Amino acid sequence: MNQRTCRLLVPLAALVAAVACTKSNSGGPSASIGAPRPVTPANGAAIKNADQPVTLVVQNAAISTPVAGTAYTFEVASDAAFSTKIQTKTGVAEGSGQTTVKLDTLPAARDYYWHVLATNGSTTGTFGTSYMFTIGPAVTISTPVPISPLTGQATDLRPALRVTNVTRTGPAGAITYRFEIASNSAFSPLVATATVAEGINETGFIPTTDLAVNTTFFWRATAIDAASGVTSTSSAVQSFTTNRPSQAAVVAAQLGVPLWPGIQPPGSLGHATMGNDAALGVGWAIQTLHYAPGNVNFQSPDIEMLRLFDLFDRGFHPDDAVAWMNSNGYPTNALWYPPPEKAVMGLKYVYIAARGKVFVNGIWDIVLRVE
Amino acid sequence: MIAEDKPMKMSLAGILAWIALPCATYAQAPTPAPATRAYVEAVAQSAFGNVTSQSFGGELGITVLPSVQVFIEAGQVNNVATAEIGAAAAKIGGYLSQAQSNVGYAVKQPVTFGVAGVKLNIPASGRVLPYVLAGGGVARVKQDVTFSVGGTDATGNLTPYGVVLGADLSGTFTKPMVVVGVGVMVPAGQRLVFDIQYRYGRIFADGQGIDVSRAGLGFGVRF
Repeated sequence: MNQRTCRLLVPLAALVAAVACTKSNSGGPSASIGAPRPVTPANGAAIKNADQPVTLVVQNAAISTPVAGTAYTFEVASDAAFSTKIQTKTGVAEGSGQTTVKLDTLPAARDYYWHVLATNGSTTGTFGTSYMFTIGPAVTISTPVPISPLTGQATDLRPALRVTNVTRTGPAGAITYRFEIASNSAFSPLVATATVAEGINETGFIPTTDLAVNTTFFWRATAIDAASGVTSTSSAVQSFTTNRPSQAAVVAAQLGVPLWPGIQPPGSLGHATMGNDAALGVGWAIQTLHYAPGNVNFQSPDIEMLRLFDLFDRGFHPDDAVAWMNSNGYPTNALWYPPPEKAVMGLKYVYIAARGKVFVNGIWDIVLRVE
Repeated sequence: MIAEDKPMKMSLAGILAWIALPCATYAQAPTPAPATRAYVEAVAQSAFGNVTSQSFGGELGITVLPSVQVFIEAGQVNNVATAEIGAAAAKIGGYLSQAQSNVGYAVKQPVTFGVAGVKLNIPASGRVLPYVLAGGGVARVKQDVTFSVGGTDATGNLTPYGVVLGADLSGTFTKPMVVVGVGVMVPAGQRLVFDIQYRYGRIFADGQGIDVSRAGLGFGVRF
């Protein structure tokens, strides 16, 4: 090797040596990260226990020079210092603009703190601002049980839907009941629906408009605790079939009073007729009458008279009608005076008289008492 | 980062020693000495690329063949900040400003480099001596990015603001560098020489290279 060759090779060798000594620690594959910022639930949010699972949402981290997919780590703790972590979700893939994660169900009636960090390439960011939220108390409510109408029953066009009140555990608020009526068991579409306040022992709903006649409807009820957001499972679905309203139901509707708001009487209509012959009585049109012995004005017919007639219309024997009413929540002091002497149902100011003393499938007239 | 300084300095020192010792031995051989056996010069340049800054350094050359010299050059460019590092810093600055007031940032990428290569003198009439050169070496790039919050430098304390700086905005890295250049050597008297020069360099940083153009004037002594 001569001198010139040596001098030529020396710097080249130096170059090789220098490059060989080069250590790659460039900033290229390592990004800077601005921590993701919490979005929802908002700091201090109160979340109903029933609304779980909670979904956490953050604004995506600021990545200076993304080198790979950004992954997120969500931590949920029971204390602000995150010394007691309740849940940690790692490796959550970045969303578009925002990144979300759905938590597992958290114990109720507690405060929780959460924060998030992002990782990109070889850089692990720092946890961003922590937010707090509160899970409300646990409330459970049972399923309403249908009382009436039960499947197979026939009703008028505005049946009273009734369920037993639910039982509840936990600090439940005021319970309401959502009644739904539909012409199919899938409840789509709904024919009528209403949410009503809880009654005593039982809760009911009467449609405010007539249902279609001679149609089978399905109904169910669901109890709701709005305060906790807890909703019961729906009651067992029941069905009923509407019949043309009875004569008594038509008059009761004119009075604005449900004929049978509670228990529905059995039987089928068509066994009685309202007598409206002025020569034989005062008729069943709504009117104010005067009871001379007591010098009392009163409305005729009243709901008691209509219920008695409706039971006659369903084929009840007058004595059975009185007994059924008294035993099913429709108290009455009516007294049946059977044939052959009278064949009338005695009330306070009137008689409901079976024309010609024929009380089976008979015509019934309202006759003012004179004694 | 600091640990890397030593290997680089040691390699440069080794280069110089390697050149000096064996070649001194051969210098005693009975070969005809070139007109210029060697030169050394100091260089001041204007550096430009994405940003404009200054560069300073020195160059040593040894003639190995007629019209052929080998050279080593070491120097520093004050700032070679790329558009990318500026955009990265802006992104973090924007993030900070979403929650803080009076946020500022500054970006600078000073480079220290050392290269060796071959310089080819082009025969020309008159006293001037044009040349072209090419070489390679290493460059140490510092990512000098600072952030201020509320008017106070917060670069070293960004964690409370939710920021972790990666290697794209902090630290240093050392990467291969190549240089090509042209120039004209203008003698000034018996030993002195001016070197009007242009150098283009590329640093092979990860992800993307950094281009460094330098144009300036060298002033040195030839032997």
